[in-house]
This record gives sequence, structure tokens and C-alpha cells, in this order.
Amino acid sequence: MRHSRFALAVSLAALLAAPLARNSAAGAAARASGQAQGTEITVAAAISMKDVLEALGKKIAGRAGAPKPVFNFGASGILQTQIEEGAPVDLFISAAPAQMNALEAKGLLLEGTRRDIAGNRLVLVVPAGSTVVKRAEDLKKPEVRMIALGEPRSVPAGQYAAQALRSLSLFDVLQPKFVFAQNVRAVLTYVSGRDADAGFVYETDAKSTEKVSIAMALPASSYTPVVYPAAVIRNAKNAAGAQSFLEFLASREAGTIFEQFGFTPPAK
Amino acid sequence: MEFQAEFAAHRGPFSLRIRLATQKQRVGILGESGAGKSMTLRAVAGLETPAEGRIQLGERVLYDSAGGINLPARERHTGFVFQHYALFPHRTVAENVGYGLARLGRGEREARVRGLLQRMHLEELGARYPRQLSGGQQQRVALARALATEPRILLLDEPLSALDFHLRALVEKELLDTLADFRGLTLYVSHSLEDVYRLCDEILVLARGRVLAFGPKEAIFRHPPSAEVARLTGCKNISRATRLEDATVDAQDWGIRLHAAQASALVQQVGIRANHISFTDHPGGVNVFPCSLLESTETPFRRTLYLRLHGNAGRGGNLQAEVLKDRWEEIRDRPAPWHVRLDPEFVFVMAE
Amino acid sequence: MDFSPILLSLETSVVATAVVAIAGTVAAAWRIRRRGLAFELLDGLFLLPLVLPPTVVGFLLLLVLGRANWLGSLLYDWGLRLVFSWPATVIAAAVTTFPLMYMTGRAALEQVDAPLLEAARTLGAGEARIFREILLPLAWPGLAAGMVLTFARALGDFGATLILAGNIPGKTQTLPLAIFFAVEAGDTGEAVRWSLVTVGISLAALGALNLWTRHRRGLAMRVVQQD
Repeated sequence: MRHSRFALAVSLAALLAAPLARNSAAGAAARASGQAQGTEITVAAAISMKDVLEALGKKIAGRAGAPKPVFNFGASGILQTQIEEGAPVDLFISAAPAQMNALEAKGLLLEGTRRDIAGNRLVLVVPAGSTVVKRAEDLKKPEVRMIALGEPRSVPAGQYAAQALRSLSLFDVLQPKFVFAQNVRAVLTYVSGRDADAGFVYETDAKSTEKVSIAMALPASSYTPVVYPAAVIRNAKNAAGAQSFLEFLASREAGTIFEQFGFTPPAK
Repeated sequence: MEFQAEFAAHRGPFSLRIRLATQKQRVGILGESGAGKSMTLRAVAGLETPAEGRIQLGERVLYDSAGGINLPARERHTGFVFQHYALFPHRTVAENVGYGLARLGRGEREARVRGLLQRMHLEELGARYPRQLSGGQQQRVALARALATEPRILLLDEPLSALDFHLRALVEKELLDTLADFRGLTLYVSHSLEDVYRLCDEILVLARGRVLAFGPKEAIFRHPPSAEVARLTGCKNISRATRLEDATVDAQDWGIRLHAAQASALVQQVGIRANHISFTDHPGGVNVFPCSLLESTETPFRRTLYLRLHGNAGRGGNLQAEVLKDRWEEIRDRPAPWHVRLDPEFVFVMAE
Repeated sequence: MDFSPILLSLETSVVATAVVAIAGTVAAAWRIRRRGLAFELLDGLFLLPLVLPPTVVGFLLLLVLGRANWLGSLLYDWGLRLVFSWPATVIAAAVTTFPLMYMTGRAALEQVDAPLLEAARTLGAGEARIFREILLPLAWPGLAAGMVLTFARALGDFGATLILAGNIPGKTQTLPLAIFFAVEAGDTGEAVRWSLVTVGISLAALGALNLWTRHRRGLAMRVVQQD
């Protein structure tokens, strides 16, 4: 009886200790290798950059001296708040200037490291094969019952969409049809599932799935250009690694990959 | 009115086989806990369904497995008094009593309820709630409620068990009065043989789901068919026995030979009830044996005497006798050995 | 200030609670009279929404009711556009709270003494009358507690509501959604205000239950004191 209870206690202890041991062993190894090459960096990036950044991360993996990016994807607003609250981030890539400006104003960025790395276009999408909407004006049609866009206060794509609709004098008349999503991917889900009849997403998002088709691209003059600023955080643990990755992102090699995913070069 | 019940019922590993036919008015079902008494009542009421069998009351067939008949409880028109009364706590006494009378018009229902409350001496309590009543009052309400629908069969599940001892005699008397007026059949379940004997005409003795005996109460008590029935009906003195000649048996556990009125070759046991043992000054009579007092205890009204028979060659067994207290006073100072007389009229023999 | 989240939350929670109170109690009453493995498996199904994360519940509802699938598409063609509608908030709240009412309903009904129901049966009452007059009144305190739990949980539903009903201010944006999006937008002041309102409503519901329980106990004691 006592033997089995003892065995149980030992197994429980081992079970609990294993993750700790694993973490510290891995951490030690990582730190060892990280310190040896200064490679690991924490990158907080807007969700709309998920696919392209992961591809870029794979591209440089294994290169000598290349930084190892660990990505944290989220809505730019939330990431901004997290950085303000002291989250350990090395590089921040936002989907709009506003969040980066806020951090800059608080002096949280490493001087001189901010640059735009890509641009994007705002498009109006509809469920694949739908022909009801060809122009923005068509959104007023009664067959268009629900229009999905990001919450303007927290999702930059939603901000741009609202801006574009206002400049086209369509925002107020279309307001009763809006459903606000917490990020652009959700907008895509709503439209591709046909629960929303139309939605506003980035061109890169529209191209990522066959379930939606692009009805039109919003005129560039109707909204502030979409740029993705990136900057090294002042209190970065691995500022050098972050810098190095940032340079890679700005390189022509990276530029080709951005284009493949549907991004535009950063507006000059 | 004739009542016939013959069925088998199961619950888990326990199985019950009942066979009962009667035209009398009050049948007691006697047995220890777990013998199947409540299950029998519930099967008759329709609260449980037997595995097979037939239950018929008068011309009404309540259950017949062969014929596919199984009347639901609400159609059987039985009156059931539960062991803990099962009065509806959120209804008044009057509402409880009238619960089964929903089909009557309001005036008639109220009249009937009033009549019942009067009969059961509950007149002032109509507006009270069950929790405000004493145990005896609750029991009367339960009975009134069961009688309200004028059922043809009344099923009483240990109606006196939940009462305090001092109330029992009183309530029993009232119960007797009420049952006297009831013209249907009453099935009275109890583990107390005094209740059953006092209140019933016929007795069904149950043990472990089987009927051990059924018949008029005097017959069961005077001539129990087996030692187990004798014990269940309160007989304290039982001995293994063999027949010697006509009317004589050798009681092995007691170490004596005695006269028994109807001994036959099948005799295996002999018994006599504690209150049929008397004390005599004449040592030479029939069924008179010397003995010594081992000890005695008293109940409020009697003395119980534990006696050791001297027996043949001094190897006698024990007997338990019961005498009234004044008789005890008479005999207590007699010199030893005492002599007891086992009245041959009341000695009974059993085949098992 | 736009008070619509408060009104929406109250409307949704009250309607969902009413629906679930009836559905949960009826399901519980139906279930307790039956035994067997099939019914125990059914219990698992009834309790599933409680065990799953609300987001998963919302997602499963979307799978069923969304226009991308045959049932949702059928409903859509018949004019029943449930996704992104106010009824969707009720559906989301009702599905996630049903297990609570079902569980507490069963417990409340089962604690009613079986002999009471049997006595009613022997007195000629049918099952419907027994349910109405004996089972329900005697189980009522437990059922009422279940309803309050249901209301509180319905008030707080987020994941399922967001997925099925979406965030449409004035139409489906309940208090939890308003709080979430306020936090997302960085407007902590607004988030705090909505949170306080939610806490206030919950406390009011619990307080009402407390008062009512004490009132009933007081009534019972007064009756006993009449002797």
C-alpha cells in the first residue's frame, strides 16, 4: 500500500517537474545559442502580415547569423497596448501609422529605426461568384443585407474602410447594415461563409482564399494609404537582432515575397 | 367481494411471489423488513408492475400479464396510506383530503371533505398545513384522503410505525373504528404482529419474497405451518421433535416428552407460546415438568420468565414463559423446583 | 451615451432565460422518469454546451445555422436570417445556458419526495396534473435558483454571441461585446462603465432572489407560528 502511494507521489512530481525541466533545458539551450549568435527576437506584428512574415521567417531560417523571429500576431491596437504595458517585444510591425505614432510619442521606439516595409490596398470583397456588387454604390441595394468591416476604433482595416466610405458619402446610409469584426480575418470568414454579403479587407487577405472574389479596389484617394511601419522597441532585449531582421524586411529579396502575397511596395 | 392476486415481481436480485385469494375484509401482511410487504401493496396499487401474473378485485381486472392488461395507478381506484403519510406539504388539510375528488363539483367535494374531517375528528384543522399537525393527526388526514374517493380496496403501509409509542394504542383504536365502517377490502402491512392480529381477519406471512402462510389469524397463530412462521408470529418456544406414538412427541431441544393434540408422522418441530405456559402445584399431571428459574425481566404489564427444564437425565432445554404481574407475585416465592404445565391444547406441531 | 448595450443585454437575457426555464424544466421532468444507457448519453449531449468553450459553441452554431451550410442556407431562403440578427443573441445565450437550467432543474425535481407523486397517482391524478400541482410547486425554490443562474450566465455570454450574432451596435452588441470592443479600442473608461453596469444588473438579480427567498421563508414561519 505504501509502495504504491510513494510511486504515485513520485510520478506526480515527475509529471509536474518535466515541463519545468524541459523549459529550462530548452531555455538554457536557446539562451546559449541565442547568446552565442544573438538570434532570437520577439516580433509583434499585425495579423494581416501573418502569412507573409511566416514565409519570410522560413526564408532566412538556417542562414548564418540570421535572427530567429518568434511572432506574436494580433490586432495592432492590442499589440500597442501590450508594448505600452511593458511586454517584452523586440520589433513591432503595425498595420497602420496610428499605433506606431502613439508609441513614438511615448518614446518607446529606438530612435532612427522606424521605416515602412510594405503597403496594402483596401478592397471590397463578396462571396465567390456573387455578382450583386460591382461598385461601391451597389452596396445600397436591398439584396446587400450585411456588410462586414473591422471595428474602426480598434482595427486599422476598419478605420480605412470607414474613411473610404465617408469620402464616398456612403458611410451614413450604409450604417444599419454594418457588422463589426474584431479583426480582418473575421471579416473574411463572414463573407466567405456568405453570412455577410460584402466586406472590406486588404487585398492580401482577399487573395488568401478562393471563397471570396474582389468586387473592386477602393479608390486610393478615398483613404489614407495603407502602410506597415516597423520599428525596433527601445527596451528590446535583442536590438541588434531586431535591426538585422528589419533590414532583411526592407531588402529587395523580401520585397519580392511581399509582392507574391499581394502587398504593394511601401509608398514613398 | 373477492380479491385475487397471483404474481411475480422483481427488483434487482430480489424477487417476490405472491398468491392470495380472499373474500374477507381485512387481510394483514406480516413480515420482517425486506420481506416484500410494501412491494406487494405497490403492485396492487399499480405503483409497480409485476413481471407476470394477475390481480383482480371483484369483477375488475387490475393487472393481467397474459391478457395485456395493466391499469395505471390513477385508474385503479385504490386508497393508499403511505408509511410516512405523503401529505402534500403545500396544501391544506382540506385540500389534501379533497385531492382525489377533482372530478366532483365544488359543492359536493366540499361536502364530502367536511364529512370526512368530521368522521376523523379533524373538524377544526381543515385550514391547517400538514407541518402544523401532530403525527396522529397527520395519520388521520392520510386515512381521510385515501377514503375520500370511496375506494374498493384500502392499502395501508405500516400506518402505525411512524407514531410515538404512546400514541399507537389510541390511534389503533381509532383506526379500528374507521376500518369497521369501511366496506371494501383492507390490506394492512406491518412488521408488528400485535397490530396485525388486532386489526385483521386473515394473515399473510411473508419472508424473503415468499408466502409462508396464509389463512385466518387464529389458525395461523394456533397452528403455524412451520417453525419460521411460528417465530414470525412471536412464538418463543420451539424445539425439534419426533413423534413417538399417537399424540406424544419427543422434544429434543427441551429434553422432554410431551402430549401434543394432533401429532402426525410428519412431525419435525413442536412449539408452544410463552403465554400458554402455566405454573402448577401438581407435579404429576400431563405435560407437567420440573424446571428452575434462570432469570426474569419485566415489561410494563407482564413478567417474562426464562426457565431451565430439568428434562430427562438433567439435560433439559430452555423455555420462555409470560405471566401477568399478579400471577408472578403468587409464584415468586415458591420453593424450587417449580413445575410448569404445557397445556396440550396449545402445544402445536409442525412439519418443518 | 448610447444605452443600447444595456437594453439589448436585458432583452436577450430575459428572453433566453424564459425560453431556457421552460425548455430546461420540461427536459428535466421528462428525463427523470426514464432510465437506461440511451438517456445517460442524452445527458451528455444536453450538458455539452457547458463543457465546451463558448467560442466553440458559437462556432458549432454557426456551422449549423450559417449560410454556408445546407440548413442555414435553407433557412436563409425562407427568410430566416439568423446569423447577425438579434434572435441570434438569444439563441447563443440559450444554448450556452441550457445545461445549467437542465442540471439544476433535475436536482430540484428529484428532491421532491417520490411518495408524494405516488400518492397523487393513487388519487387519480394524471401526469400533467401531478407536474403542475405537485412537482413544480415543490421544486420551485430550486428551479428559481436555476433561473437566476441562467440569467446571470446569459447576461455574461461573449464567445458564442460574438460568433453567431456578430458585433452590431444597436442590434446585437450586448454588454460583454461592448466591453470587449471598448478594450480593443483602448477605451478603458468605457470598458469600466459597461462592466459596472453588468455587475450592477447581476447584483440586482441576485438581490431579488435573496429577498424573495427570505419572503417565502418568512411566510412559512408565520404559518407555523399560528399554533
